[in-house]
Amino acid sequence: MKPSVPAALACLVLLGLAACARPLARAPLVAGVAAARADDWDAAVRHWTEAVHRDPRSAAAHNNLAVAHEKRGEWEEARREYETALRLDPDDATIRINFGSFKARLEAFRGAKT
Amino acid sequence: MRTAAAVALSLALAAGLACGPARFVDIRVDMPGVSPFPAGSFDEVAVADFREEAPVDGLAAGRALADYLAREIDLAFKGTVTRVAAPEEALAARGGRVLVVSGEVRLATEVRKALDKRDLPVDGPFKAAERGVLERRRWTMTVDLAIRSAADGTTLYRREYREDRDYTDLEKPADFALSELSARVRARLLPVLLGTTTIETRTLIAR
Repeated sequence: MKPSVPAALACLVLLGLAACARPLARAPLVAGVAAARADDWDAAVRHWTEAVHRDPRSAAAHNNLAVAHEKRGEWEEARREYETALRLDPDDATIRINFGSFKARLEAFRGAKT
Repeated sequence: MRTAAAVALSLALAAGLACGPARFVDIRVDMPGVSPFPAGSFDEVAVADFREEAPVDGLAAGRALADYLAREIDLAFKGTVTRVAAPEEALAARGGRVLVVSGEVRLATEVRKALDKRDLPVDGPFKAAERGVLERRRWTMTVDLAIRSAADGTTLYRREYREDRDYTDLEKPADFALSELSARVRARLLPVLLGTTTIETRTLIAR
């Protein structure tokens, strides 16, 4: 049987796609970042929600959604998204730093209720 | 055959890009203020004199701090700001939509000494007597602040603020230090009380 180069390459592509858990979520992630940089947070939330819909295990999408909730003053939702992001990727230093800053700000401002 | 190979290669490249490394984007965000008092939940702030257990001679720090905070809150707050001598006065007389700011202030000072390394002899051996010594006067203000609801007297917020300031001028008057340290307390209190926005840095991830 004659070896087929295109078939081998196609197999490689399929293997690559299968190995990567998040390729489909990347486009809305990038679009959301662009929207956030343009200060259009409603659009950013739409894109990142779409990213979560495509790949519910995308820690990046949950991290970005958490930032958007912070921006809107939705503290509980932000906390939930950060916690989800960290559950999906506990070693991600970026998410840890974001979540740490979020908690520090909340605690500093709210003070100790008695 | 060649076309099929080109398509397959393009797909492979696309897949590679899709699975590529994460891209991190730092973004500065104007975050809304975090306040334990929801906007619109109160329309008056009563500021009472702060108690002083160890007053500095010739300086009514408790009253001065309350006067200053009342003025500054008034500038930023749309509602009414009143001054009262004691928190009980506000708690007894006010209705449900009043917050009462009160607490205790301590102002302390000490002279601190430190080596001025610029004056140390460079050719050794150690000559302790020739070492330069810098003296600085440190003023420390500690404010134990509470915000209570006039409706039922419950404490809604309590925090201790501690601020230090060093002066090379040992004769710096106490009221000067009080003024500077009060400004720092104000800078920390107003965002809490009124939920002032702050600029924060967060990192977005695209991958």
